[in-house]
Amino acid sequence: MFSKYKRLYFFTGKGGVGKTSFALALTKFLEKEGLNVAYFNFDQSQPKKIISLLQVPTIDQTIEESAQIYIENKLGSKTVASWILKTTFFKSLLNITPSIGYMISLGHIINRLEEDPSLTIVIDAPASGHTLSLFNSTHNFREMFKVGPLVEDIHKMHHFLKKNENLKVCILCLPNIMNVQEALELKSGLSNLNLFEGHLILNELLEGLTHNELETLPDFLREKIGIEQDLKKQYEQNFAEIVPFLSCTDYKDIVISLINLMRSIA
Amino acid sequence: MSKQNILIKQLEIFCGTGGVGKTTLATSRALFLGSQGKKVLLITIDPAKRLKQILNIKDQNAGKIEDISSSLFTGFETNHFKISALLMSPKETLRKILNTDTIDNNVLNILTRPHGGMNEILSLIEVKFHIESGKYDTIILDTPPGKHFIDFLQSSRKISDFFDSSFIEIFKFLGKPIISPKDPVKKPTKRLLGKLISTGIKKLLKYLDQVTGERFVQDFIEAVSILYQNKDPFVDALELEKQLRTFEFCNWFLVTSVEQSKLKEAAEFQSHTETFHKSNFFFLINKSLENHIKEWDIPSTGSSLEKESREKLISLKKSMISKEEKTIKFAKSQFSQFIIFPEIIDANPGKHVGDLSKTWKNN
Repeated sequence: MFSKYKRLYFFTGKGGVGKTSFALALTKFLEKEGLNVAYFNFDQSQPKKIISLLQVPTIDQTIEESAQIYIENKLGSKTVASWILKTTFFKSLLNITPSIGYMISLGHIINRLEEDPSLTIVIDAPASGHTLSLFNSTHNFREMFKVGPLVEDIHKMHHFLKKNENLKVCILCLPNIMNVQEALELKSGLSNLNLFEGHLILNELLEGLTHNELETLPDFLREKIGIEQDLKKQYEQNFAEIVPFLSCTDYKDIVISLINLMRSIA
Repeated sequence: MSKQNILIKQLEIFCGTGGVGKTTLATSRALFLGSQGKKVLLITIDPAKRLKQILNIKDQNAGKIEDISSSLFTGFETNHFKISALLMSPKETLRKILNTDTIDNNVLNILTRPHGGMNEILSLIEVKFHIESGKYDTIILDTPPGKHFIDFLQSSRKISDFFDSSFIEIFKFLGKPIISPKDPVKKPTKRLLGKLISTGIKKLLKYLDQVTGERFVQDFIEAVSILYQNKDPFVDALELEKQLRTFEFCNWFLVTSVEQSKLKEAAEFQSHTETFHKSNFFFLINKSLENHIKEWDIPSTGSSLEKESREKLISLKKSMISKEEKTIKFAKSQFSQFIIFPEIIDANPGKHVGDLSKTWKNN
């Protein structure tokens, strides 16, 4: 059956742009739409409090678990796999080049999706530069290994990521010039990998105030709004979506308000 | 903030989650120290390279030290001094370590690409290198965001793991690549444990061969032996970690911003640095609107403002105040030393850096 939703969503962008809030809100939205969906945090420090408050379905997998499963399948032996993982040699290899771990985790996520066609995963991805490392890693390792079973697996991953109906990558940014420029840089960096195109989302834009309301604002806020509006005009054609500043004092309320905005983002 | 001034140290490290203005604050610190007549080198290992936007330097200059004129920054147009800045280039650092112009090994070339994943380890060596050069009074280091700051802290431990006994066993097993004829290697002690490890390595390489192909295994062994032959700079960098913990040597600035109030992450960082000297640890709160919000009066009912509008503005103001209060409360409960930097409402980054350097002056 054809679904209007994707199989895999990524939220990336600089720290503090709203990756976690959006990923949680989208997971809740898709759950309400009746999907079998789970939130996954790539950096492995899940925001436990909000997850339990909102009862967000999640996936927990560590790099070590993913590596264990992968090597086990490749070599056909659980014992050998766990032995390899225990060697200082392998541990230090993972430590010294974190991109191997990224690739293993991503491979595991894609495997889960291929094994269970009903599943959708929403990824709370690492900040900009590290998301580039993540997607670069598959290219780098393909080039390193050149041939063999690992390269075939990388091709399989790319095949999945390249399908438009499988994947949506959202790059979030806040309304200030550096943030927007960095998001554009990330978008073009990802685009150069020839796998997919990222969607830019401008978050926390202060707008929707009437003329009368604006009149009463202090100078600093009017200036701030002015700068943000100029920025919006300058880069308008780059944004797939614009999300307003939400006046909430509680984090939970922000995520709940976002759930209602997810239809157009999904 | 306590009354006592921040002492200027040989190394000053800025850390925190991404997007809090870490690079901008680090640059403003460099500018302030430069204005005090200090020779400053600013190093960024942030893979997103935001420094170049502020400092107007280009990607192709990564790995080379650039002189930055104070005239780029608002308020410093007429005092002519320079600060030095360096965008980390992992490849350039490795070239320095290997003392060569070209790196022939496929594996090393790929791993030292800007997003190849070896930034943290190599940056520690780069810092050590510039400290030893003796050219600078202060080196300011802008670390990569988030969890990767912890990677940075742990990188010296990773170096020692990498060159640990099991690696040495690999070379004993492989024999030739690392033994130069001039420097015959000592006879390995034939302990049972050592034997076990080395048979393990044999097996491991066989498995690696099975999934990655022979060519990769050869490249990989070559890469490891190149690193091993040049391990001294890596091992020297371990010394740095000891110095990081001393009061005289280093200041730590943990940056957060009111806008993002990533307080949970800040607490996590702090727990990782607990073994460090408390009195050279500062919490920086960036982008505070506190002083501005204080001046914000929302007109009372009956004035030009509709009831509905008034409620909307009150809720906006409340949400802004709440962010400020949460951050300050957290700072007071967790840190003995914190500094508040105001939000600079201007589109020009040069104005941000210039204005922020005034806050350093007052501390």
